[in-house]
Amino acid sequence: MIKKAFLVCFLSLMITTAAYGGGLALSGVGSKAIGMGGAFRGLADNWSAAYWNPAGLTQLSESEFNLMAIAINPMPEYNPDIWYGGINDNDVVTKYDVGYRNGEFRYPDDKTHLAPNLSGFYKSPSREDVTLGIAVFVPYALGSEWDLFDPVYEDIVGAYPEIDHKSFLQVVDIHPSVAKSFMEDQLSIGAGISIMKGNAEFQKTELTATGLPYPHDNVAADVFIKGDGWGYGANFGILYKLTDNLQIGISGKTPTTLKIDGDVDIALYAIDNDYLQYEALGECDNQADSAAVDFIFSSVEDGPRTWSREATAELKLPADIGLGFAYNASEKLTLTMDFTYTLWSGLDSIIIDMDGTAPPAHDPTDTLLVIRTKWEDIFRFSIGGQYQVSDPFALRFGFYLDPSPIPDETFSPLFLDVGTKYSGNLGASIKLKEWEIGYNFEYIHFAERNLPYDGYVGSTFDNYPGIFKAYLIANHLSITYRF
Amino acid sequence: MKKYAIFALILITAFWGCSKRDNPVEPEISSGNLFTGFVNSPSLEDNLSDTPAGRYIYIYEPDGYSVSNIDSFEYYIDDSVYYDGSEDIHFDTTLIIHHVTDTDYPVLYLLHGYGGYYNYYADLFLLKDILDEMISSGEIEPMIVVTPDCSNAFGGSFYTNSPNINSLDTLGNPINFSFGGKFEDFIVNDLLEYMRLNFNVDTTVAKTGISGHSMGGYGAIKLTMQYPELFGSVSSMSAPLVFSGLEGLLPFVFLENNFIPPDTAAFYAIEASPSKPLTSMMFAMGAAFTPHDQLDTLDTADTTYFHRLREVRLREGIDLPFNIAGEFGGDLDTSTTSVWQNWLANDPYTILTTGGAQALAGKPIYLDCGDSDDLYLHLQNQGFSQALTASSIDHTYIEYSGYEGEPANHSAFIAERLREVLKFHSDAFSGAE
Repeated sequence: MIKKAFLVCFLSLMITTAAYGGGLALSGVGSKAIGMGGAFRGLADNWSAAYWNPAGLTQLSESEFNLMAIAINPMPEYNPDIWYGGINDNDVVTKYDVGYRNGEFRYPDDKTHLAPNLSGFYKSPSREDVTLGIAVFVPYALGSEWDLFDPVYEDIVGAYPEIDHKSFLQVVDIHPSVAKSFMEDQLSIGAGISIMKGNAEFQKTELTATGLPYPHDNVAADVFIKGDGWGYGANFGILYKLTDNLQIGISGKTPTTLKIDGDVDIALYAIDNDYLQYEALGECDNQADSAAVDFIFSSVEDGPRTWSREATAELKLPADIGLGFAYNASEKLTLTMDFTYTLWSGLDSIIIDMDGTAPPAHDPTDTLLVIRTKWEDIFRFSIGGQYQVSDPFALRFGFYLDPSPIPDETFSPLFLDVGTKYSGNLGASIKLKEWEIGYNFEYIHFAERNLPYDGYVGSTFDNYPGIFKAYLIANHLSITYRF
Repeated sequence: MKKYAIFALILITAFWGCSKRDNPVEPEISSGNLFTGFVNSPSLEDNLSDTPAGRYIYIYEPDGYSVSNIDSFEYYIDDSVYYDGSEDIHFDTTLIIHHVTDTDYPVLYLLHGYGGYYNYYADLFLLKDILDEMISSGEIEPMIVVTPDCSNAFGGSFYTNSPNINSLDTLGNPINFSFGGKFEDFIVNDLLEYMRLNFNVDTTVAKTGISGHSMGGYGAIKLTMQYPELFGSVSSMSAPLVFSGLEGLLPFVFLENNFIPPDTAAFYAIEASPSKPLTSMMFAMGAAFTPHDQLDTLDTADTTYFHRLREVRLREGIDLPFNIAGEFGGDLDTSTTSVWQNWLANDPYTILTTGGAQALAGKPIYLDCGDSDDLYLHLQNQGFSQALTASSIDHTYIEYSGYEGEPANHSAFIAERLREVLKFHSDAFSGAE
């Protein structure tokens, strides 16, 4: 005798899909700025001011072109501890393996992510108080691919893929800016417009309850969300020289909403077991139950059964505001410090509106897929310095401390933001006539995050219990040509 | 020069720690053989319910038992079937004779539950995958596992020698045969002999285990108490072990049959059918313990507990231990009938508490049951465990939970419990060395 199968509903499993977003943000823009730990709002004396504080663009001495490349190697690791389980009246804990590769640290694909930036700024000899230009930079460009799951039922149709969890977000910001100085360059004001193009991909495994005995009590389905779209925002900044040696900068940016068009695809890894299907059908007493059983055992030859639905979504990138100081401690040494507040709490959830053909056993009237995020506002602290060794050669150093905006309750391995980031930077630049070459090495240590399995959860969960660790290495190389 | 040295140092540092890391290597899983055998059982011949004497069995041989696959001895096989993982391949001989190794392996007899067949564990709960994985990982020692077919016309034999009753053959001649088949004899005589003759099984008691789920667990416990010289370790999963606990199912049986005591017509209309799983199970127990002998004048005269078997098209019937008043078991007037006594004679709890404890003493014993068992068998298992403790018999009893949305009912987690059972018997086999 087996237990009766019941109607499955994909939507119910998808509404608690885990978080998405800003764990994919980079440290910033510009090898010099990052080399100083991102403490650059109060200095902002090169092209990357367009990102940090556009008022600082007035400090460019000549027109210039810039090209920059960042090579990022995120190195996260995750030891899953995901089970279904229960505790009875005698306090006996029972755990059931549902397919997650528990007990050993897993690594993603360890790819090097490349993020190019370029810009051109014009400085009119007749209007040295005004700087105009455009920059194209990549504030978000990270992702990961993991092998975290393998169904516990071996009688699966076809082979389950190696990669089952994936995230990728790249945002390109086309950013025209203008800045003007006042009061004999004591005060500068600048602003820019962000025209953002975003590409997002997301994949994770979902389990759907079947009502059949273990290990067929859940069937696995991979959910793919993919799309791209545009969004618009702006930034602004003020730079003021308090004294000959001390400068203060205040800057911020508006939130930007990317309107994403794409698809939600579902691949069902059905059960290939004629005997079990026969037994399950034998216990069905209505057509809906029979349809549900056929769905659980449905398949195409040698592979998963797939459905695709068109979808639209809005992805809210956060506003921030920051205050920075730059202090010339000596002729050769400049020290900087920034405080930044980022309003990630605007990303409370992502609502995906689906259209098109629904999988069988799916409620066709229910088209919203809500991804819970519940991110939190964070406060970042940065300090940095530059030592001008000689006229053409400068050394830089910097550090920042940046908490993760992702709360435990929605944390998943798809996002690098494991915990508070401690970023150390060491950089240098050298001028060769009209050219300047800059380089920065960045190492980020992430505080370990340990999410205990404490819920004896049911068939859905918002976070991924287990232990997360990570570090990141990034190389920043920039070339500037002035004319 | 100093500048270049600094740059070089930075670049070297830059690539430190960026090398690609590999995930832990998945353990290699060796594959054993799972194939179908066919046992012609003398014990099951001549029964009144047309139960076939030929029984299919699944036999799992661990990797290493045979140096090659089963094709190497196919010419020995008759009426047997080799399962190659995707389909059954039939052969043409009667005896397998698969002594191809110098090693004798411990053997576990794994008995299916009510409504099941020999493929119960293999097809529903992926027994071969579980064994391959656990043996490969070293969690359990290599063993042979046998799952026989002990189904009959009533859905399950309860691993019992159904009593002989009088009847007539097709020519009208009087006969006296077992009602549902002698399945106890099939297991302890024919099946064990078949395995001994054909396979490299270690026949020492300590290397022979028996287990099962539900009806199968009942069979495992009862047969071990009856034949302690054959089975060295015993386990049961969600088994009915205290028959007095069946009283809790009676209201559901009545409900399946629209019987409200003392409705005489409805009482005698109670019958088994696929839409009445509890009634069918009770009828199977009746067929195993208390068939009604209509040619016995004393028995025929007493229809207090009689129920016909229209569903299986037998002219005979069975007795069940409840009456028109809805009274059950010990509440019945036992001075006029032996129905309840005959059930108690097959009740593990009664056997245990009336002298059977000695048979289990010293043997590794494992019991488990879900805490939300549909048949309330966790209460029976608690009672049986307490009786074992009262008899100073060491044993393990686990009452496990399910999870939210998936309670630990009668059949929900058999595959997971199988792992525990296999570990238990492996430890028992190892401990015997």
